[in-house]
Amino acid sequence: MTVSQPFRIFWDLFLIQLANWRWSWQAMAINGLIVPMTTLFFLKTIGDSSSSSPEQLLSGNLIVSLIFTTMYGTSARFSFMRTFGVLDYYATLPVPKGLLVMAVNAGFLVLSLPTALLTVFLGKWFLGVNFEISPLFFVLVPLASFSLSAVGAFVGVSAPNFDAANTITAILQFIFMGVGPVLIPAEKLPQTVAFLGQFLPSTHAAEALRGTFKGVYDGAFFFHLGFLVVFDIAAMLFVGYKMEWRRG
Amino acid sequence: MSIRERKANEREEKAQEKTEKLLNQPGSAVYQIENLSKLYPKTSRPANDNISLRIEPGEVFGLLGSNGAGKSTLIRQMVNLTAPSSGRVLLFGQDIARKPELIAKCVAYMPQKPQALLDLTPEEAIYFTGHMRGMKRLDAKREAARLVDEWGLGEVRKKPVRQLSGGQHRLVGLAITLVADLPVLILDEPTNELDPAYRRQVWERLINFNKQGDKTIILVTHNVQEAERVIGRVAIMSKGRVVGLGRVGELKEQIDRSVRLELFVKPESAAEVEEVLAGVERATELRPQQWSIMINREGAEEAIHYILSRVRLERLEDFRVHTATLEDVYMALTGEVIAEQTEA
Repeated sequence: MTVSQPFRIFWDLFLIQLANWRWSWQAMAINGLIVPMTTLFFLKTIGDSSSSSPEQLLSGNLIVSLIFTTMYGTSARFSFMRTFGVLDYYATLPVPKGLLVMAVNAGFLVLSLPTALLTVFLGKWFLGVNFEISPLFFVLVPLASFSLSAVGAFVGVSAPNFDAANTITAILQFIFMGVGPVLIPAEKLPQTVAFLGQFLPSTHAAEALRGTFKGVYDGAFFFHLGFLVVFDIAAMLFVGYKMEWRRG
Repeated sequence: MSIRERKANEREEKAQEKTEKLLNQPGSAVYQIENLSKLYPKTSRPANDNISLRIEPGEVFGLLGSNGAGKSTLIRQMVNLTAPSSGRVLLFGQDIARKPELIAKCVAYMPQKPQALLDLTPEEAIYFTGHMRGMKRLDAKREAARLVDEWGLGEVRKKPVRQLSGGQHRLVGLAITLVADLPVLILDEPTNELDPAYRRQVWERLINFNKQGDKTIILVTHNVQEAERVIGRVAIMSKGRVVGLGRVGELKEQIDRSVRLELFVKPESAAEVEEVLAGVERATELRPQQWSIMINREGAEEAIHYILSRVRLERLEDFRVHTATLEDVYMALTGEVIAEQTEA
C-alpha cells in the first residue's frame, strides 16, 4: 500500500457513509432537532428556570442533539454492517478496519453538524442570550461527536443483533443525558449521579462547551478537553479491536 | 505530476509487478486447501472436516452441496473471513493466514446476499469498489459506466441499489465483483433470484470472462443443471466433507449406467402418484410434485413404460427422460436432494 492509498481509501469510505444517508438526512435532521428543542422548551418554560443557566441548557441540548444523531446513528450503522454481512464486503477489499471505523464516525460528525449548530442558534434565540462562539467550540464539537459516536459504534459491534443494539443504545441515550451535569447543574443532582457522570464523555463535553460559551478557559476546561481527546482515541482503538474482521 | 505523485505511482507499479510475479509462478495452484477443518464453538459436528482441494489457474470450479454441507464455511475460510480450526489455505502458494492482504489483491468475492452499498446507485457502488481495489479514479468511473451498460442496468443507473428488484440487485453484485479485473472470482449463488433470461446471460458472461482473461472462477450454486455447462471440475460436499471431486464428465461416468425419468405431477394427483411411486426403487421426491426415478439402461424402455402406465399420463403435467446429470451425481453420492436455497 502506497502512502497515498490510506487517504484515498478513507475518502472513499467517508463519501460512501455520506451517500448512505443522503436519502434519509431529513429524518436524521428532524431527530437531532426535535428531542433537544423539546427538552429545551420544557426545561425553560415548565421547569424551574433558576435551576439551569442558559449556557447549561445550550451546551446540554447540543450534547442531546449529538446523542440522538451520532450515538444512535453509529450504533445502528455498525450493528447493521455486522448483522447483514456488510463488514465482509469491506474485509475482502484492501481496507484497514481502523479507516472504516474513522470514516463512519467522521461521516456521522458531518451529518450531525447542521442539527448541532441549528440547536445552538435556535437555543440562543429561544433563551434570548447573546455570546460569541469561540473557535475552540469548533474543536470541541468534533471531539464531543466522536466520543458519543464511538460509544454507539462500540454498542453496534458488540451487541448480539440489530434489535439488541437499538435497545441498548436507547437506554444509553437516557443515561448519557441524565447521569452527570449535562442538562441539570451538578449541585442539583443526587451525589451518586453527579459522581458517576464524571466517567461519561457527555459530562466532560457539556462542561467544556459551557467553558467556550462563557469564555472561561481554565484548568478545568483543559482537563475536560484532555479527557475527550484520550476517550476518543481509546474508544476508536477499542471499537477497531472489538470489530469482527478478516483474520490475520 | 508532482514528485510525490510520481513516487507513489512508482510504488504502486512495483507492488503490481510483485503481485503479477506471484500470480505467474509456474506450477502454483490458485488455491491449495490442506486438511481444512472448522468446529464452531458450542457445536459437536465440524462445519467442515479435513478438506483438501487444489484449484488450478483458469478453472471454473463448482462447489455443490445442500444446506449445512459446509460450503459457505469453506468459502469464508477461502476469503479469510473465518479462521479454520486446523489446516491451511494457500493462495498462489502463500498462506493467507500469514498474508491476508493477498485476498484483497487477488480475489473478488460475491456473497450469497450482498447487502453492502445499498444506498448507493449501481454506478457509484461499482466505481467505489474499483477505486478501493486500486483502479485510478477515471478508469474506475469508465469501468463503472461500462459495466452498468453491459449488465443491462442503464435504466436504474441513478436509483439506489436498495430500490432495485432482487434480480437487478444481484446483477449489481456481479458487476461489483468483476470490477478491477481480479484474477480469482468467488461467487456464492450468482443466479439466485434471476429470471431465466438473466440467468442465461450471467452464465454466458461468466464463460466469456473465464475464456478471455484466463480467470479462475469458483462457483457455489444449487442450480446444477445450468451450472453444469459452465463448471469444469466440481467438489460435492455433504456434512462438512468432500464426497466427490473431479471433472463433471468423470463423475457422471460413475453413474452413467442409469437414465433418469423425471415426473411433474398435477397437484390434485400428488397423493395417488406418491402411493404408486412408494413401491418403485430409486424414486425420490425432488420437490413437491416433482419426482426423479433412476432406471438402469438395460431394460429402461420397458421400465419407463411400466412406471408411466402405473402413474398414468393424465396425472402428469410433464415428464422427461434424460441421461445422468450433475444433480444425479450429487444424489448418488450423498443420498440427498439439492435444496433450492443453500447455506452452510
